[in-house]
Amino acid sequence: MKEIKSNLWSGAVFLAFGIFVFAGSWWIPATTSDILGSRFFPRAVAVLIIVLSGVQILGACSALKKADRNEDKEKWTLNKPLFLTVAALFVYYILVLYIGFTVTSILYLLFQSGVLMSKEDFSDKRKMIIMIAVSVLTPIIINGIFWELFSIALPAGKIF
Amino acid sequence: MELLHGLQAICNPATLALIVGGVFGGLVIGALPGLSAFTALAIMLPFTFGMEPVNGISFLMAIYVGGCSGGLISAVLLGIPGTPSSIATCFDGYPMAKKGEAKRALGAAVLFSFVGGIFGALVLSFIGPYIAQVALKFSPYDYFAIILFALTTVSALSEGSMVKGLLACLLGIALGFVGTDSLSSYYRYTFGISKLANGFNLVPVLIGLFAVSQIMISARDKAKTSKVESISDVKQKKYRGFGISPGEFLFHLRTAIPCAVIGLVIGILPGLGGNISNLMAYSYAKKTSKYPEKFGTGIVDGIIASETANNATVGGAVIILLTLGIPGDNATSMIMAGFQMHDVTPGPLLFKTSGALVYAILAAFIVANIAFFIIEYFGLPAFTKMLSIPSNLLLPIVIVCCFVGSYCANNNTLDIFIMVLFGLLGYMLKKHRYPLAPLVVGFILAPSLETYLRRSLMKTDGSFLPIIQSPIAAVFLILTAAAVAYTAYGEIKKLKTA
Repeated sequence: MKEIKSNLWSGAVFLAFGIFVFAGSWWIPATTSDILGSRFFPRAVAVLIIVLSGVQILGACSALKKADRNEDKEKWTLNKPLFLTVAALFVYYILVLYIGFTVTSILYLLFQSGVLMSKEDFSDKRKMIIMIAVSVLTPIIINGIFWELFSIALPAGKIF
Repeated sequence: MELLHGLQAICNPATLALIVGGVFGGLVIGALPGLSAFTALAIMLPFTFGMEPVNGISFLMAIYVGGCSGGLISAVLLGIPGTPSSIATCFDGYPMAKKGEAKRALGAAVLFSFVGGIFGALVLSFIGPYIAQVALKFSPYDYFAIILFALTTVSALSEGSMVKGLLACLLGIALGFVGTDSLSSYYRYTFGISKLANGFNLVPVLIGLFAVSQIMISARDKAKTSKVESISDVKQKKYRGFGISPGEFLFHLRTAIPCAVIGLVIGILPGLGGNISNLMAYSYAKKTSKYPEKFGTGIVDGIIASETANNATVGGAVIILLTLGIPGDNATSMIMAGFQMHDVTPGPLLFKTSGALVYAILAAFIVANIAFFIIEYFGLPAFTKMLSIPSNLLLPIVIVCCFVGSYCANNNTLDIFIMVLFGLLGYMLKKHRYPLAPLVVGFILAPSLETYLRRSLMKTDGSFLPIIQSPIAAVFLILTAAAVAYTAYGEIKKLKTA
């Protein structure tokens, strides 16, 4: 049941994406011959996406009719570690623009390692020291290698 | 005979040291997710400026060989391809590491990388120029049909349902539209963002899909088990040598030889390269195997197919570069820049005008393959030690390396954002059981597919008939139809029995 629903919803998302690609092709400037122009291929691909997602949706609908509707009804709950990880990745991008690679990476490593650590690990002093040392030293070493060895400057941030 | 003279030319301490150093540097950079052979070459190219042409180009060749092979380390140990050419290595390499067979997986990968590399080097040395002449006769129709065949086989034969494979492939193609149309120079789907004029860069796309999505999955699973599944908890089995007996080695040559040929042919065709050959060879090995259902569960056959093909591709790409002056992929375009830096013009006349240099380069290519084999063999115990680092420490460090890799690809911070977005896309696709390989192949091949199709249609005034009438194109179009029909038949049969 769960897989059928997943197929149904993902098929619907692909259908919407196919329509978006087709509609977006109208914004591409037209050329004298449409078959040789910039619009032709995106439209062809969009049509294929729409057709295949239609097949996916129809298949899922027919399977849904046969399936037992009472089977595994799961209640949706927020997956905290996943939510925090995704948020941390977006915040990393924003912070790196302002406070640069080294500081952002130290903060990210501390936070992400904390998210992935188990509760028992937090009470283990040795593991905590290793985690902090690795989080602080890794970005400094990476920055040093790229600057000193390869002469590549990693983002320094607008503030510094 | 000329090859022996070439070997003589590079047999001096300075050149040999540069080859070994180049292979080692390439291996280290290639092993880091997001940093490929291309990045390694881009970083090292300026250092060759003051060198003799033989030394400089041999050094670049060694980096290329090392960079292409380094990707297998992170593919096996982390399930993250170090380079695009090791995507298929992840499919069986990582499950083997999870089963405690990391050393055997790495050993097989190293051994058959060497087989593929030497195969490519020998073909390059003896019949390279003749092969390149044949490849030059391919018309846009033929290229279109070959690319279409590559796309459909990878999509149809990938894990899960064919419809999902094809949808993932079409998604990849559609994402490839973003940027400037190469034929008309019009912007498509850039939404006024000037930084998207060149489209999405492959590096952030790839590491987003494979590496960033991996950390999201680890975080998701942590909520279920309250502990991140760590490979460091798996007891690794001990193996002698490469973890493969001589009998097994000979047995697997049956898979390796056709995969080496696939790799070499794809390497010769401009614009395809190792990114595609490993996936094509994997699909071939799975299709012809007596136990296709075991692919993806952790068997050496998948690793052998992928690694033999991607290393043979290097030889193919060098053939087309030396004989026709056409760079087959990004990395060979950097080597071409190295040639130009030393006032050497690759092309049909190179063998006549600079024969001694060409054979020295070919000898350097063979020596680089041997150096890579020795370095990786002795490095195996050190690489497997990496598995003892707990995932909650290793994964965030890998992500930081990925941020660096994405940024360094273009010195563009937007690429970091793109990497995160593709990470989210990769996570969603994995969650809904869509294969990622067809998406990547679709994304890489979309520009070539469109260009060759439109060029063909320009040549035929919009008619599709001459494309079908071309013998090479017709063969590949029939093979494409057969691959789709074969998979569809299998799926219908499976549905009926279910």
